[in-house]
Amino acid sequence: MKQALNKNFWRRNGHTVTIYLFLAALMVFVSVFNKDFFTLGNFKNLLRSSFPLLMAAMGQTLVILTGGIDLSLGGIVALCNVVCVMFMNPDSAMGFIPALAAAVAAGVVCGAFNGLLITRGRLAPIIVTIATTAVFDGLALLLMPNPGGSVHRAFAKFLTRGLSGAVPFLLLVLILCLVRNLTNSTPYGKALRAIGGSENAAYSTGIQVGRIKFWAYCLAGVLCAMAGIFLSAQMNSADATIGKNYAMNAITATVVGGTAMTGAVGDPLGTIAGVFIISIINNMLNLFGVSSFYQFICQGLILIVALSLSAMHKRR
Amino acid sequence: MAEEILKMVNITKRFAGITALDQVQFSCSKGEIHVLAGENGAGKSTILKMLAGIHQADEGEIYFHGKKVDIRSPEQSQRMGIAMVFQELTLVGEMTVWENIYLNQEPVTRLGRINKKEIKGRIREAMDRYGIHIDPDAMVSSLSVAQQQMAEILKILVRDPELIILDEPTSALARKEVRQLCQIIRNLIAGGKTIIFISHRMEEVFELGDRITVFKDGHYIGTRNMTEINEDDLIRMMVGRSLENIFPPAVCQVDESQVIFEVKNLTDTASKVNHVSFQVHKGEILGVAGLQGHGQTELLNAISGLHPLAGGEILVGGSPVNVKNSARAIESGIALVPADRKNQGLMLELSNRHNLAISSMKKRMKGCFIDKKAEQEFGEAMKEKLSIKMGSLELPVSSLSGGNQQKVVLGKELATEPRVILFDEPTRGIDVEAKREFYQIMHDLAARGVAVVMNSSDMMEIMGMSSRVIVMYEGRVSGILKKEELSEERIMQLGMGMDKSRKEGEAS
Repeated sequence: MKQALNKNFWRRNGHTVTIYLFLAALMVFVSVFNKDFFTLGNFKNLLRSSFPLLMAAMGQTLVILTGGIDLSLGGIVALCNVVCVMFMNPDSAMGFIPALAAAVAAGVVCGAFNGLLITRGRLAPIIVTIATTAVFDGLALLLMPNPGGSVHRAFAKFLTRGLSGAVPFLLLVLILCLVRNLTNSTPYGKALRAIGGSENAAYSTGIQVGRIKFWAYCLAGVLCAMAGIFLSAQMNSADATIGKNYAMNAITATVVGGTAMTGAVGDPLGTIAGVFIISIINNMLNLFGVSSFYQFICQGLILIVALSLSAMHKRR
Repeated sequence: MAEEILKMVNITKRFAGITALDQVQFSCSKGEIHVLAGENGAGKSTILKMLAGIHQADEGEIYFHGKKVDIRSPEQSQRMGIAMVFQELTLVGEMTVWENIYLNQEPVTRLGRINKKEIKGRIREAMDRYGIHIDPDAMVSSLSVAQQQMAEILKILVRDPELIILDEPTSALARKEVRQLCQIIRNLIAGGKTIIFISHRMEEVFELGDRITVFKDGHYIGTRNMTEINEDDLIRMMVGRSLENIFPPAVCQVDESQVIFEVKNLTDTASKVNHVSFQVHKGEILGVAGLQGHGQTELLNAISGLHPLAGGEILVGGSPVNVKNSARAIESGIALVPADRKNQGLMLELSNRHNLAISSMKKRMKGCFIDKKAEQEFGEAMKEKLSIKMGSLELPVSSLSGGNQQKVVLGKELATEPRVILFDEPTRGIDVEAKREFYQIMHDLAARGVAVVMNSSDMMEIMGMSSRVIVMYEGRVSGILKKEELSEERIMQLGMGMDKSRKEGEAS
């Protein structure tokens, strides 16, 4: 019985364990060059700078599990960032509440827009989200042509550095638990994976395929809203062009984290490791003074390697 | 007479203009096992998929428990208490057995989490009850097809439906599992369920069925009590039809002394083709018959390099050839006219000229460019030779009728000057006039010494065109029939794997 349990554990979580081992090895490697790597301060920094991508990547994971893809995540992040700052009243004590509500609403609407086009319009997710990226980016620029605005001080400080820096960590743990529960332990999550595995099979089983997919895109929108809100707190302002690398980084993190691009197989917990791997590699390149152009190249190479590994795994 | 649980009246269904079901009836009494029988393409799966909510009827009414219903989706069908085991499996390979069995049906805890413990308990109980043993934690993709089939059945059973539809559930199962399934079916009937059952295995049909309904070419033929009829009556109901004489006579005599194409012990990697051997003599058209899905298409694909081979030999004109991919097969003189011309045969949006020329482009080169003029002449010649009716060589091939499209596919293949030509369902979806022309071309090819092999699910075509027929059953050749031995009954018997049992029966 014990052995059977172990076997199942490995079958389900083998990839996630491997990716965390890789992350640990990477951290040890980096610490050789950076004596300050294993300090609390550095970890707080790392988390703060990775937080928006963590949110977007979890959203991407939900969508990719259905066999879809969302390239418009960056556009949604930027739009939510702008909307959040616009609705912010820095002077009133509770001035951040309308901003939060507006940002989340913007995220849901964007996600719902994608979802409707994909499920009702029966259009390919990749095309739909390329098009909506332009729409969301354009909207963000329209609302705020130049970076700026100001943010509720106390709110920004609490979100990024509250409880001596523990707030982002607690928030991450909370959201990860919610998302992971959803994908791994609820009927919704099983339906999500079933659609990614075989849409016809899911439909014949009586799953309401359209509805499930629609909500996946909406949830991705909400998670992007989280990213946008956090960014506004971090920068104390808004920038309509902030989102341009999010879509690709979120895909990379998801694939590195063990989610199959074809859907069905994957775990948001792995995606978290994927994000940190990308962040740490970028950090390291910064540390060595490598130009940011090489960082782009490096990121592309990571994605290629991750895709090849997952393809090899599948063939086996 | 038990209560009539299901009644379908005057059901008509068309797919893209083709009538799949024409004013058919079907009804089912509570607690019976009702067999639905008919040849390939009779419309059996179509009508049952209406009950499962996959298809909707164009005309006609469905009554369930005497109430008129309109089943719009699988979800609704399930809520009504109908469950179907489909011919093609509906399991998700990337998920475990237990996840699949309880998919969309999961009991949850108060927090909304799936109650894994309860699911596993219930599955264990169901497996014990029905004598099915599969590891609930195994990934579905790691199971054998037979195990997947059993998991699929279990998935239906845990939903506790009132009406269970089984569409050829035994085609993938071995004898032992078939017996197990029969036992399960009997238990279900004892538990008050009603079952509709499609099967091509006579044994099961007669062992299990209470009543049988026969469809043919989308028409309702009749319903009988199982006790009233025997195997021969049933086969007569399934095949009897008027013979339209659209088949031209063969042009030349078969020269049995010359083998121009031979296949020895052909076996594929997916175990769809199993030790198949046959010969084609000069002047011969070899028919490949059998019920759908017994390896006929895979056999033709394997010979033409589209389906991986595990073993065996292919000899063209006496010398062995290697067909590791389709380019090599074409080089060796093997051409295929595929069943699905729209996806496999043609580039629909490209011009007739382009489609005709694509397979033999290298023959008309001027340096490293295509010789436009030569291609034009070639296109005109093909058009003439096969009398393809087209507005212009430059129009997209999608503008042609089905029959002329099929001629373009053939022209494309003939341009490679094949010594062996394989036809997979050559006349599917084309009109009678085009069919007749096509048949004439096939005879001419055979007369010119090209080996012609034709797979067809149309009995009339097989009977009318072939000099000899190989019948396939479960990936093997279950019999070879000479022209004078050909009859629909014989082909059906071989295609249902009945031949052996019959001979044994006669011997004893």
